[in-house]
Amino acid sequence: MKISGGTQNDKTAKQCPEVKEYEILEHAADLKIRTRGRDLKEAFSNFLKGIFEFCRPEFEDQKPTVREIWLKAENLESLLIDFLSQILYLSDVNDEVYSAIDFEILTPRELKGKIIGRKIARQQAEIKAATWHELEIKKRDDYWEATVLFDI
Amino acid sequence: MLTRQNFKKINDYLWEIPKSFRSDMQVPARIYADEKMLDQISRDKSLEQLVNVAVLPGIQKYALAMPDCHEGYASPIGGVAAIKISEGIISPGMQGYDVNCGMKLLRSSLSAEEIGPYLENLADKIYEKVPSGLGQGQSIKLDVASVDEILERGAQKLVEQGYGTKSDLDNCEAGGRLAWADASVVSKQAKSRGRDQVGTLGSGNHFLEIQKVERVFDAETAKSFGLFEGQIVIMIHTGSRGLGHQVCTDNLREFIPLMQNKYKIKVPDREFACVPFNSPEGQRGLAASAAAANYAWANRQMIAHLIRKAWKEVLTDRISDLEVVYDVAHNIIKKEKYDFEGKEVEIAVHRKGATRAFPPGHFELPEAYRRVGQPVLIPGSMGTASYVLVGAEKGKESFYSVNHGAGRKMSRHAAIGAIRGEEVVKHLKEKGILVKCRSMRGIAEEAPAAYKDVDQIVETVERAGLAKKVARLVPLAVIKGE
Repeated sequence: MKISGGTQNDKTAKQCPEVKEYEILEHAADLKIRTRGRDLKEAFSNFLKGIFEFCRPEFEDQKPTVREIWLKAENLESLLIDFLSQILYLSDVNDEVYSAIDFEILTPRELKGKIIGRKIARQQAEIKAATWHELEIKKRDDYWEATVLFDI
Repeated sequence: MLTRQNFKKINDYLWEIPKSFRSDMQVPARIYADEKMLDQISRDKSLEQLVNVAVLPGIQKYALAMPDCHEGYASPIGGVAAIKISEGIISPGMQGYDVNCGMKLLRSSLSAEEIGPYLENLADKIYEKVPSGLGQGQSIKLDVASVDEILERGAQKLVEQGYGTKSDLDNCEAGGRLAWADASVVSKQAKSRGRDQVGTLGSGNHFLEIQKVERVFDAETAKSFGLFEGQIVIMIHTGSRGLGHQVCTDNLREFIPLMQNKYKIKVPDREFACVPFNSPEGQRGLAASAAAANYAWANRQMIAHLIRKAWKEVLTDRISDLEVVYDVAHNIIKKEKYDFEGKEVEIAVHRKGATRAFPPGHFELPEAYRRVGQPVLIPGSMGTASYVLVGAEKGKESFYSVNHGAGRKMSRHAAIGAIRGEEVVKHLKEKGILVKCRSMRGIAEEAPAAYKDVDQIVETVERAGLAKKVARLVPLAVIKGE
């Protein structure tokens, strides 16, 4: 069974009509998210949408919070895990959930940008960590695809 | 892909995948299960993952899977790897992110009949006092120095501050503190996450339950554990929260490149992330994991304190102390000593979803339990029975490890699709079980139908000789984080 998330915006949908922003894939106990995007930025940022759906936050107020992140890693896979680990860390210590990122830099070894979130009153579930198990980032014909298993 | 032909039957409750199955296996893999369970376990990737455990450098005897085992990441959940310290590795991934997730059981002197009129108030009060920590931590935010003290001294620190008694520590694995913990190797991020999470429950399968001892199987041992039929007990299931998650995340992030580039260790899944146990990095990882384990013992100790407060507030005219039966981890790396052909060998037992079950006479047990053996706390799924077992000498073959619960048989997503939380609550209410939980999705995910039958799992453990049944506990009220 696959549960699909939202589709890409109109422009994307025209370019790759079958592509979903993210899917939650079947796993016995944990949370496996596969994202797709026209470019690496979308494939990365769509994880925020999958995490958001899973955690089902209830918000304290409507005011957005903006935080800067800047990460360097030895390769693209490590950069993705570092990015997701940083999101989970910031979410935990600030009681916030992030729904979007405005990238300034995204290369296979560097990520810099602003994440946009909101303060939460509570959420229905939490994610413990982004694992390296069956981690995959691939360039398909005209889109990027990334799969990460989260411990929940 | 494993087929029936790959299994060698050792007895009705034990199966082996021989070392010859895959050329990189260092030892055979063994699964404790009856034939029906083995069929069920074979349906997901559990056994392929168990074969991967058999590859770990320094593994002794067998890679082991308990009857509740199911697919995880790196090791299956319900996996045990005994690594010879002098020539093996440490693998944080073989322990999992929720370091020292475990169980604590409190016993009262009241019966179910006596508690009846107070039950709902008590459940509400406990729910109020023990937050999930998901968006709302504990009101007290610790400074970093206090977090450091908890990391190095675990539950002992809390007891010194008045959040418990000395007997709480006696009746806790390792006395609630691993001495080799070192706060200085724990990252600032991990410590930040730990500042307001002492005394929080978390989500997922974590829970608090007010239970009744429904049946005693072994009267003498039950008496030693202070248990009797009809008695009210309270079970706590949680771990090291965000601090532990961050410690494991940090360890894997450091170990993966070291494993690949410096130590050139080849494993089938990088999530094992291992380095030599006695290497400087391995020792630092061990000290950080131990610090997270200490934090988990402090967390369960604080929750016990909060439950005692709720108990006293609600039962003002019927106060009875809540005493700790035992506290035991099921995700942990522990240094333990085993006798191999007359020689004492130091082993790093990695338990991931497996519970330590020491036999009668084990030197690490507190005096009160040394003659009878360790109380082994096995939670069932929400609304079903839990068990207290006692460790047995035959458990040496599994490095004194047993299952940690019922084990999932349905994914969380399949459960949400097939089960409605409201119906689960209604059904449990009809059975006389109260449920305190905000999230209907959380209830659907953890519904009894999503899990294997705990009675059968425990029966298998007993018939395999790893531990013996002492008491069956049934829930009266379930309190979940969110």
